Amino acid sequence: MPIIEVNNLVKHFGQVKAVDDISFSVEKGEIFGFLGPNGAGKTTTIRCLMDFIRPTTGEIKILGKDAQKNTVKVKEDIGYLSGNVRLYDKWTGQAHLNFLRKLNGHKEDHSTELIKRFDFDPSRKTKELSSGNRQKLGIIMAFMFYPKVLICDEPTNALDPLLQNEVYELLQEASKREVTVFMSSHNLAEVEKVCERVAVIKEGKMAATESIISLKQKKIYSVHAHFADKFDPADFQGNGLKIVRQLNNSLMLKVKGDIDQVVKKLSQYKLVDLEIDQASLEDIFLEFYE
Amino acid sequence: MLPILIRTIKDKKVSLIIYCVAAVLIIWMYIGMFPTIQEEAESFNELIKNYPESFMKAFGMDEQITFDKIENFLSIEHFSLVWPIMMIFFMIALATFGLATEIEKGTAEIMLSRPVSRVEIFLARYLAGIIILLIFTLVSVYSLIPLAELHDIDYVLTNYNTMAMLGLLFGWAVFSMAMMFSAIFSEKGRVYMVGGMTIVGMYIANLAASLLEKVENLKYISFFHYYDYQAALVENHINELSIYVFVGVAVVCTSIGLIWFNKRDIAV
Repeated sequence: MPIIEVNNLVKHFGQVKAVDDISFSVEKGEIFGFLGPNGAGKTTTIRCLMDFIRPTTGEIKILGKDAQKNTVKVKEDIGYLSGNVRLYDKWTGQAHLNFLRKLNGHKEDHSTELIKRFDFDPSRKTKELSSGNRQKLGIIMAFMFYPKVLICDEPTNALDPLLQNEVYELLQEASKREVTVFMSSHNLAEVEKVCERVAVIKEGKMAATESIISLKQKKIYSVHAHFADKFDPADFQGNGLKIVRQLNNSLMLKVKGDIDQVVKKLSQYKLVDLEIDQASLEDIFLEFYE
Repeated sequence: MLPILIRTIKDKKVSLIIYCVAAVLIIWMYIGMFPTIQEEAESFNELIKNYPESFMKAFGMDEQITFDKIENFLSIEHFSLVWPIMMIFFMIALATFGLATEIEKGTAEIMLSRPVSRVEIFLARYLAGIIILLIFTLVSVYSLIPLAELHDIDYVLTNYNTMAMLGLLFGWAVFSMAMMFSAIFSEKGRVYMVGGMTIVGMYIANLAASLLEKVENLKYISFFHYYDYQAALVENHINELSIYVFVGVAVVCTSIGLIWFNKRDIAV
């Protein structure tokens, strides 16, 4: 049974279709990346998952329960982390943790351990904290109750690379404990590093859902050939081939799919130099936006 | 629900203390002035009789009123305008803090991401407001008793019980209306603006109704018509209609606010 199940989710703000009929599911213990540029609908989807906003239509189930009708029950097992953590300025970090402890019915927590791990000072008022320290508090608040599901909206915003790695470790440790992680990001390297599967959202619509491995296996090559003599560009068009740049005796190609056909065509010419690079995840990702 | 309620009262305790101290100091000032006023009561009464009728109506002053009793003096000087203004400011600020400020700043996400329903959040903030309203009303009305004793001034306790009841009803209606706006709007500025304009509109409607016979019926849409401080403090009486209107407004506004908050998008 999927831990998170989203079916035909639609969310309109007036005439604006922020999320337009998206569906996906996340399995137990999986780290699922939700990838897309700003304004694609990632945060809207997460806010629907958290029942901060209500879907126009569609169904969201978390841990087998309707995320809206059973929101209180579902949230007993959810940890939520926003990339832009909002805090009460006049409270200390400890006051936040105490408040959450009371809201969660004094459930067992490991905030002390997390405070040590992140070297966080909970006695200071949050208005005095740097953005990095505010984010640390947000991370502690999200992880402190041993959640079964973690929902993170661009969780490493405002964090330095060391802390980013600490968050990645926390997510991976959580996944090993069979915690299901749903995280949005516009950072491909981050998704590639942490996630097992990724959904790509584009203008509110789901462009693709792939495992990171299969996404990488979507072969896209960048071919840069220098010919000794003139060549016929018509040989390098169509069937997954696209000329990116063409100079007198050189050609830059993007190849989607089988590289063999290009190699065979190139072998008909005398070459001075040839470079073939496999596309990065970023290039593959950008393909979805063309 | 209890942690939110307790935390809200803790967060607002400084405001509550400031408002209470201000109210006590103002009452103390009037109490301090009263012996002199009482000595000069006859001249003041003559002066008041010479005021234009429209002026008397505009400020809700009864021609029969005299400054020989502290209740009469306070009803005109304090409970006519100063006290309700304090109450209105405090209640609108409290209601705005309750929901709209949380939504605007995004801190609502802290509570909404925990196992607490929206109904509990609304009711916790609402009940915290009612407790604060109760404390402010009791302190600001009954502080007269020790101060009057201190200055050896006679007072009628039962009249202050009635005034406290009327004040509570008035404050409850204002707070409930502001909570409704706070549940509807996502910006605190809008709650202040719409809440403030509604109250100013009511004041103008009541004023116009008292000055112009043509629009006499406008008074029925104004809280200030039902907030009859002279009847409460001088005559120890609250009109039944005032009770129905204030309770009715409070119940209707609270219900609309609760339903709206439970259905609306938060953090858009």
